[in-house]
Amino acid sequence: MDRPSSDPLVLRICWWILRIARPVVPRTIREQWTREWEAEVQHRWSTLHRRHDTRWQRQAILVRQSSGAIADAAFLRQQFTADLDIVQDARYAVRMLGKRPVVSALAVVVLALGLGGTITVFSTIDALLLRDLPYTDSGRIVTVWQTELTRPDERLGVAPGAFLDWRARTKSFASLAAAEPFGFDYLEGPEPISLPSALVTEGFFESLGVQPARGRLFLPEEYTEGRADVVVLSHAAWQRRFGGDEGVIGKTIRLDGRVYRVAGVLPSTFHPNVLPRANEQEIWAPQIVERFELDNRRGRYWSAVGQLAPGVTFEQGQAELATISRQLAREYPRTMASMTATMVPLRQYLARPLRDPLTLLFFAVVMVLLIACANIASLLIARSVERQREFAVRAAIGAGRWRLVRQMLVEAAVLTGLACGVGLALASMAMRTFIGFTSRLVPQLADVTLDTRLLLFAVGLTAATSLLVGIWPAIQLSRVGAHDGLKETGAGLTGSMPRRRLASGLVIGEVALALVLLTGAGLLIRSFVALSRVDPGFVRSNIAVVQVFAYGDRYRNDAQRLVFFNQTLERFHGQPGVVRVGLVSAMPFVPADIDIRGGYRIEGRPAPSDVELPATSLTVATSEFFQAMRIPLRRGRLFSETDRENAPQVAIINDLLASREWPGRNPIGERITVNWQGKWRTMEIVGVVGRVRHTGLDLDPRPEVFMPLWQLPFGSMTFVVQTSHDPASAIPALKARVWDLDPTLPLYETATLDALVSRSHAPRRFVMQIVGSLSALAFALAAIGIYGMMSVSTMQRTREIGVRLAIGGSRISIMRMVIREGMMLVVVGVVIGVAAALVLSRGIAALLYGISPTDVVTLAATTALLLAAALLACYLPARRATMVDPLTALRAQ
Amino acid sequence: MKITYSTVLVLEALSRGYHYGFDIIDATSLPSGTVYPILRRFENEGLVTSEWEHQELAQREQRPPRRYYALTADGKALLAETAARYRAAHEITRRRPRALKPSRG
Repeated sequence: MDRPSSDPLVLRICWWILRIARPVVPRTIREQWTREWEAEVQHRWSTLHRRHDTRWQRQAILVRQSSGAIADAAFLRQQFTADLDIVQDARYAVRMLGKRPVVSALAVVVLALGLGGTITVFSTIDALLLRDLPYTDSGRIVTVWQTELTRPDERLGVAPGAFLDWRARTKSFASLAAAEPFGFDYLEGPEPISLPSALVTEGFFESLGVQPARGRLFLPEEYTEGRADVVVLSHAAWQRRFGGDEGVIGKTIRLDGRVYRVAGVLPSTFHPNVLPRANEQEIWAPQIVERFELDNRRGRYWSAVGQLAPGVTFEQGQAELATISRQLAREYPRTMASMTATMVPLRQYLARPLRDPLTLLFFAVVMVLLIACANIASLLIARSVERQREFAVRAAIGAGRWRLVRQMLVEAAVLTGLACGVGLALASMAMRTFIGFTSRLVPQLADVTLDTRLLLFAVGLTAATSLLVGIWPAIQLSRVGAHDGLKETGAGLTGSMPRRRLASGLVIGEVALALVLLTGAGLLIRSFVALSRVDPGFVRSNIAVVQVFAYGDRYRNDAQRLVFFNQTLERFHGQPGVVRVGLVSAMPFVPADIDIRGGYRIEGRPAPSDVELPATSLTVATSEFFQAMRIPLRRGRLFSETDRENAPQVAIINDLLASREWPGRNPIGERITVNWQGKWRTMEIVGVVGRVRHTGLDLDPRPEVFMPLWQLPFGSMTFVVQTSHDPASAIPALKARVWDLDPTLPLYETATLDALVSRSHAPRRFVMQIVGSLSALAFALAAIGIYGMMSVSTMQRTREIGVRLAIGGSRISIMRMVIREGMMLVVVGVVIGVAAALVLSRGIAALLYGISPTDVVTLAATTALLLAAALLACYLPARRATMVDPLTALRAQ
Repeated sequence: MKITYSTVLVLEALSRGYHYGFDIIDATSLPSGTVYPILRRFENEGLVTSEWEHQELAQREQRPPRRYYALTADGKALLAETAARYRAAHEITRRRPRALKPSRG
């Protein structure tokens, strides 16, 4: 339909309209249609031309008349589609589904659960692993960590001195920057709080490729003393602290008693994942590197992120950092000798907490989907048996085999299409819960929604599913000729062989899949139980926790701090229901875990060099801490009233350290020297207490040295309040008592210990619950599948059973026969399932605790459960078979 | 087949010697997006037949041949029937114009 471009504009418009409409016209008449319309337009144009009629109204009419081609094409297409076989097939399929509404609805729901689950889990996998991150050039962004040469997988923070050395020497990075988690005290809200904040070095935002949503980021000169009174707000801070004020730029905010100007607001999608609690940072301020930090290569409290320079590969960057680390190790052997730098791509770092659970969940939902498919397939097979005569008749009057196969496939497609709709609705609901969980581990995931990409995935998945569901009955059907079908109307003695083989295969598959899933769930549940039974080393009930940081103007020296702690203790004791109040610097399970580590030596032993000193955790505590937490005293004594400032320095160690340094001997009276924040303190060991777990029940306890608060007044302390009743109800009063004394002191964590411990294994519980419910679903589906297949097969054998009964077969022998045949399949499925479970469960080893992935007890239990259910599923149809009255059976059909 | 006022107009136009799509459009003053689907339906129902214009005629005017539609016997029968029906309607309106005056808007 190419027309010369010399045609006048009006004609060109008409051709253009026809060209748009043309593809809509059904192919068989497209050529004819084009010729007709072109002829009309051309004719009209020539007529006008011949009459020298150049009025624009005439030409407009011609264009308008041509535009009718679109309506004409649409009409033809619609007429064509209505006549299409496939549409008729679909209408027929809908009618067939409607005939058995309950069964059909059940099938749709089952498939919808499988599809919805798969879509839900895929949404997160897509966002986490497949999609671009919301940063420009995110593929080049890396996180950088200090690691010990001997333990490359254990990522440590970055010491300021080390970071500055890297930045000075590297050539691989377009930008390399660091951030330090920080807390600004904010007193203008209803309660004094510490806003989670971060101090960033120049280039931090640039490294992550983030642009401000409003205002600007920091200027280079603002990273200098005296100019740094500017902050950038997170989206949440802008909403919470300024009510989303459009004119926030240039306004001021009072933080830590100083006035800061707001320079910009970050976009809501920005999550600085390199920092702990990355979704919570509200305030961003320029980092002013203090003089002492230039040489601080030991305290690793910065997080580093960089963007590789163009043309530099990941390996080159890593190699250069390793070279720099070797130079630093030579120059600063005391602090850098055993250290190196390790890069982790941002995406990999992000995905880390979720990779294993997500993989497991995806496997689980896909398995459920497969089982659902098998179930629906056997349902369709069973139904096609009932409809054999219909198909045979259709074949006899001339329907091709392909036509009948297509009918089955279309029915499957209609079923899965409906299920896909329901599944998407389910997915959009489930995603909210699911994202609530995943976004706590990876904040980006909060933005995941059902979008076009996911819809496309859903459509593809549905197509694959309907093929999977429809292909079996279709294959089976294609094997049955018209002749056989008509002949078999009376049902052969045992039903047709290919169909039974197919149905049997599906049952075996279902059983195997269900067993794998059940075993996985069993392992997770047992891990969780094992974890709940882990002794954390303390009693978690009836404890309320209040964490404070007593620094700043009011707590300049030790004496002021001690006065504050004493007064608070006094007030806490005055509260009703308070049994005991302890103080500790490193409170187990508090998110802001203060783990101060230092090297130690033992007096009277040859001292290794400073570099090779063994390290221990150093904790400041009071005796009441051990009593409130009910941590057992193994030897010696706790701190006493006399362990004061001027008395001899004392320490309590935990039994882990005791057994490491004094195996089988009594450490009481021994003297230990520890490096407490750069100063050496020698103390006499007066007691040994039990070990406690600090950040997770699945993490091993650490060696610990406890020093009395009254000899070492430390500012970062947690009040540990033992109560006689529900500790949660005591918290408001405790907060009020602290603010009675100091209305400007923010409280960092106020919670019950029980809640803190539960929170620590919430992700594990979440995964366990999902896999548990999925496996319950799989289990039920498999049982239904077995039951369905057995029912159909015994129903078809009614006549055979009747004959057997008539010639003297006992009912017991018949029941035995039916059950044996069903259970044979189940046993085959179980054998395959056990083998698969043994192989696959290794994949979830990382998610297990205290149990081997090939745990025999779990496997035996799940196998027994499945066998029992299968037996029941075989027994019910078998019993029905024996109820057959031989006379009726023989007369049947 | 549903008989609407538009279909009657197209039938009428065909019977009065308008045989080409655009000519029918002009004669009936119906939009082309209405006339063509009606012609398609007529053809499916066997009320009209279509053939291509003679090649020479078109060549003389230096344009492609047009498609020519003509009423079949069935089409003529339908026209007679519907025309009678619509004429009856006209007579009613003539007798009681006020009662059946279409409301405005």
